[in-house]
Amino acid sequence: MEKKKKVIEVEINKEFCKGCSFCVDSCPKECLIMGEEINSVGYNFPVFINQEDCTGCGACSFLCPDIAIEVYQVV
Amino acid sequence: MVEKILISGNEAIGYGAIYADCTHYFGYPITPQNELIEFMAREFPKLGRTFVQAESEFASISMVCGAAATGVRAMTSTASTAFSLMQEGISGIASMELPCLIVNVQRGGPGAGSTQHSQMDYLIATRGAHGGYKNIVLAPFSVQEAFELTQLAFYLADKYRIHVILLSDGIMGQMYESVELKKLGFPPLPEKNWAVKGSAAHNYVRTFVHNSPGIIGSYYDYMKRSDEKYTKIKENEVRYETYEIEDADIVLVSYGSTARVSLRAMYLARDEGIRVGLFRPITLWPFPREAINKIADNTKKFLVVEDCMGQMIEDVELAVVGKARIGLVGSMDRNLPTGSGMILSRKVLEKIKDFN
Amino acid sequence: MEEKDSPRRLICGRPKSLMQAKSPLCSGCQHGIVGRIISEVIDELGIMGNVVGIGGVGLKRGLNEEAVVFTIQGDGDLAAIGIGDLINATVRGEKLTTVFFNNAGYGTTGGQLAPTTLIGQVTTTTPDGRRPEAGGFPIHVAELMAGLPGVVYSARCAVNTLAQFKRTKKAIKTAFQKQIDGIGYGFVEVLSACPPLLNMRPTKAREWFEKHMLAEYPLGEFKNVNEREIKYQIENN
Ligand code: SF4
Ligand code: SF4
Ligand code: SF4
Repeated sequence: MEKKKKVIEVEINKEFCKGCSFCVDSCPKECLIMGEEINSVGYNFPVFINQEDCTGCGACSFLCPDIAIEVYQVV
Repeated sequence: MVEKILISGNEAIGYGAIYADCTHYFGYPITPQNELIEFMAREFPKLGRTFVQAESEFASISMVCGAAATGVRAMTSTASTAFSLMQEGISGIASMELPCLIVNVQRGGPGAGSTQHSQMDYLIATRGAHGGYKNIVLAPFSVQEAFELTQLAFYLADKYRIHVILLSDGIMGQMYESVELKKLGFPPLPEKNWAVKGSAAHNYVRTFVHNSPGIIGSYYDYMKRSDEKYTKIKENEVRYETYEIEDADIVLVSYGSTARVSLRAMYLARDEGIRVGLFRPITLWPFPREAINKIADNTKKFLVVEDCMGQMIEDVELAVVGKARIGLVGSMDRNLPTGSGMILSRKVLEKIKDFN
Repeated sequence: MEEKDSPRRLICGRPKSLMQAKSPLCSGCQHGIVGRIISEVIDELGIMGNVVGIGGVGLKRGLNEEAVVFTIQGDGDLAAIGIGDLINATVRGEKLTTVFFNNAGYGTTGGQLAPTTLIGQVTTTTPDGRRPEAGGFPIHVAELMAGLPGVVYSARCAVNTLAQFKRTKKAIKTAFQKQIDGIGYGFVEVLSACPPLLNMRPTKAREWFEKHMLAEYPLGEFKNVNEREIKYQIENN
C-alpha cells in the first residue's frame, strides 16, 4: 500500500515579514522563495512554492525572527 | 496608652516605615544613616518583611524601583554623596511614576565631603536629576516628626503615584528624643491596578511599566499627566509651620535641624525685645511660596538659616519677589572650621542683630 | 487564521503568550526568535499568569513566592554597566532566570564596541577593529556565571539552525524550571547577529556569525546542578 503523504500548508503573514529570507535559507526542501511583491512597509516577503516536498519540519517558522510563519497539517 | 520610646532620628524613620506598612527596604551602608539600615536589618526580617543589603546605592535604588513596580511599599535610605549615585535610578522611577520613599540623611559635601551633617542637598533634592520631573520633599525637624513624616511620605507617594524624598540630616539622624509610636490614619487610596504582578492578578490583562515615555506611547500624554499631578500636589500638599509671625520685624526661614537652632534664636531675640518670627517649611517641594509671599506684605526682613552656602534662599527669593530684603546664615557661620562645625543659636542671634 | 475547506492542525506558529503584534526589531534580528522561545516555554510551563519579565537592569523582590521572574539583558546592561549587579544578584542567592542576548556589540545605539565585541571586529568606536591593547578582550559571561555558587544552570546557545533552536529552548526551559523548583539562578546566553551593527544584510550577518562568533564563543552547558554549593559553614550555637 502506498504511504499516505502528509499535506502541509505554510502560511506567511506578509505584514509581519521583514524580508530577511531566513526562512528561505532554512528550508531543507527549497519550498520557499523570496517573492517580487512588497508589503505595506516595503519588504519583499517569501512565497510558498513547493507544497509537494514540504515535510512540515517547521524550520521556516521557528527561525523566522518576526514570527510571521504558521505551518499547518491538513487532516 | 500610646507607647513612648527614646530613639534616634534615623531609627524613627525605620519605625515610621514599619507603621506605614512598608514591606521592602534596600540599602547600602553610608554615614550618617547607618543606624537606619542597621535598624531595618534587625527589625524587618522579624516582621516577615524584606531587607536586602545591596552592592551599591545604584543597586538599592534599582531594587526599590523593581519592588515599587510590583505595587508594594518600598524604600531606601542613603546620604549625600551616594544620593548622587542614585540620581539615574530616581529619574527612572520618575519616568515610571512609581511610589516609593528615598531618605537622604545629609552629610557634608561636595564629593565625600564630611561624614557629619550639612544641608547641602536642598537643590538636588528639590530639583532632581535629568528630565525635569518633580518629587515631594519632606523635611522633619524632630524625631517625632521624622516618625510621622515617614508615614505621610508613603501615603502621599501612593496617593499621587510619585516618589517622595525625606530630607533629613546628620544632626537629625543622630539625635535622640522620645517618640510616641502611633499609626497615623489616612483617607483610602486608589487601587494600584498598574502594578506588575503577573497578569493573573489583573484578570489576565497585562500590565507594563517602562522608563521611556518619549519612545513608548505618547510623550505628550506623559507630560500632561505629570503636569496635572504636579499642579494638584502644589495646590493641596504644601505644609509649613509658623512661630510668632504676626508682629515679626524679622522672619527666620529654616528647615530641619537648623530650624531648631533658629527657634531657640527666636526666643533669645524675643527675650531681648527684638520681634523675630520663624517660618519652617515642612514640604520643600512643593515650597510654601504663597505663604511666604503673604508674610512679605508685612515683614520686610527675611533671614534664611541653612547649613550650606545658600540653596533654599533661592526659593525664598522667588517667594518674596522683591518685597523684602533677604539675608543668609549659612555654613560660613559655623562655629568650627572642621566638618563638625555647626550653626549655633547665638550666631543666629548675632546675625539677627546685625541685619538692618 | 481563516480555516480553508479542509480541517487542519497547527504544527507551529505564534505562541499564545506572545502578543499579536508586529515586532519592533530590525529585519533579521534573532532576538525575535528568542522572544518566541521564551513565550513557548511560558506557555508550556503554564506560568503565563504569574510571570514577570524585566528588560534592562534592576531586580525585583516585591512579588509573591510563586512568581516567576526573568530578565532579558543585552551586552551593555549585562556585560558592561550591569555586570556587578548581575554577579551580586547571584551572590545574594536570588532565584531568577536571565536570558542574555550576546550580539557582540551595541545595536540600539548604533553599533559601538561592547565588552563582548570580538578581537578585530569593526564597530563605530573601534573603526580599525577591536585591538586588545586599547579595547581589551571579549568577555565570556556564561563560563563566568558557571563559576558562581548561586548559579545552578548556565549555558550558551544560538538560534541559527533548527537544531540550535531546539537546544536553546531546552536550555531556557531548564533555567525556568530551576527557578520554579526553588533551586537557584539560571542563566542562558544566546548568541545572535545584529545586522545593523555589522552593517550587513541579515543573511550575510548570519554567515559572519557562524564563522566568527561561534569560533569565539563555544556553545554548550557549563553548569547544571540541582543544589547550590556551600563549601564551608560556621556552626553557630
Ligand atoms: S524569515 Fe520571516 S521575516 Fe524573514 S523573510 Fe521569512 S517570513 Fe519574512
Ligand atoms: S515546514 Fe520545513 S519543509 Fe516545509 S517549508 Fe517550512 S522549512 Fe520547508
Ligand atoms: S539593532 Fe541589532 S539587536 Fe537591536 S533590534 Fe536591530 S538587529 Fe536586533
